Amino acid sequence: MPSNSKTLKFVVIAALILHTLWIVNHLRLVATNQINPWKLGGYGMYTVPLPKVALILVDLRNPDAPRRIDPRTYSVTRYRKMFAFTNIDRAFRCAHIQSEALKALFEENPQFRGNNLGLLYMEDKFIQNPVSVKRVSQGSVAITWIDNDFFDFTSEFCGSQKTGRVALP
Amino acid sequence: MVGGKSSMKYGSSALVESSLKSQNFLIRHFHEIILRGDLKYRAPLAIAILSVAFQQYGYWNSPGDSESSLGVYFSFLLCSVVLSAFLSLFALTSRLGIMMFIAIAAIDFIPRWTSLANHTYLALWAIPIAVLFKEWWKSDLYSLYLRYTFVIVMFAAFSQKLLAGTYIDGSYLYYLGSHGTLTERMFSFACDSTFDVPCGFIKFISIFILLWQLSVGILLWWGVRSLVFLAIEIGFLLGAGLYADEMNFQVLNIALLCIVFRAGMPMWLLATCITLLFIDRYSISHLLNLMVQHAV
Repeated sequence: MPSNSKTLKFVVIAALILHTLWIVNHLRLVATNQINPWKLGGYGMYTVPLPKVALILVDLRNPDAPRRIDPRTYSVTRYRKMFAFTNIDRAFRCAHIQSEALKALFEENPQFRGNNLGLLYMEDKFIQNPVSVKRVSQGSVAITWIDNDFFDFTSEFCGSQKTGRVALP
Repeated sequence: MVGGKSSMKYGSSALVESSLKSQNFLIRHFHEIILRGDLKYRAPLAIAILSVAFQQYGYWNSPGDSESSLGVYFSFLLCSVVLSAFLSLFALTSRLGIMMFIAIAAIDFIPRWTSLANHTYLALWAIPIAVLFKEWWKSDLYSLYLRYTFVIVMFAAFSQKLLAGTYIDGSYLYYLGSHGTLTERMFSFACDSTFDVPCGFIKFISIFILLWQLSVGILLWWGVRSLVFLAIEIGFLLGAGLYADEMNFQVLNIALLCIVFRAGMPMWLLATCITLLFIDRYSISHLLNLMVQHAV
């Protein structure tokens, strides 16, 4: 392709327009707290500390006294793999947890089958005055078993709620 | 017998002559194709690709994968990126090197699009498009493309910092002064940390960074291509890299700016960039701590 051909100029202009649109959308998503500013190709990551998102599993069998489950007693490898192409480390912080991921969690940890569970996502939030970082909840998923083969779940992130029912084999 | 000897003599001298000719041919071609002056104009892209290899090294070399078959796969990816950087240095193989980089990006980077560092995104916007140009290092259009890419980057960085509000009030740099890495605490002496409120000096530095990024965006937009401007921007990038203890992004920026300014990459800058990539591998804070421990 000659280095000044019309096609080449078109490709270059299209790439610049696409890049601009990507950045404008990134700015919009950061401004509305929907994404982690350190990810997804923006250029303002050094504006807040890394959110350091962490997942905590909570035993909800006694709803009045929720108990944090020891992370050494379960694995979330398969659960995390469910987000490998879509939402690693919750870059999209308002995205709901899908039923397939919850299914993978119980298949990987059969000891939790029948137990009401809570999945709590925690993250660092930067406070400007007084300057500090506060550990806050990013969102949660509440799982309630109907019988040994079915459970209902309610996913709550960024003020939005999603419910569903999952059947386990 | 005599005739046989002379024909043998003639045969061996012809052999010597032809081998000398081929030697000269190789030397001439080695000089023209490999060491020709425009190598310094291709070096920036090789360094840009190499910065991606160093940036991904941490992920590819994660301890969990080193003992499994994934370890071999990741080593292969790392070697492929280094090889693509090497190939992009030479006129004959430059586009092949870029094609290799595109293949690795398609196999490994694109599927991890939600976890990639923003630096890798910049590399993906900047490097692959060079494959469209037969001799990208001579192309005004590619240089122009990179110039406007940097305009977008600078305006985006400025807008993001402005929207976050943490540079206008100096709160982010103030926070890093007490909670950041060793190098990020370099300005902590300027503020009293007992009040949890940024002092004037930190506010000044924060606003200066903000305005500097806006100014660079505007100057690039106007098409300023003075080498003094390039030198000041390289100095600023190195300073920012030293502060944030993050050199591979700065090396990527420096390399791409060398293409924007059509200045090529002189040997001293090439050596500096490669050294910085190796230093970044261990982090400046880690090396400083080691030095202090050793001194004590």
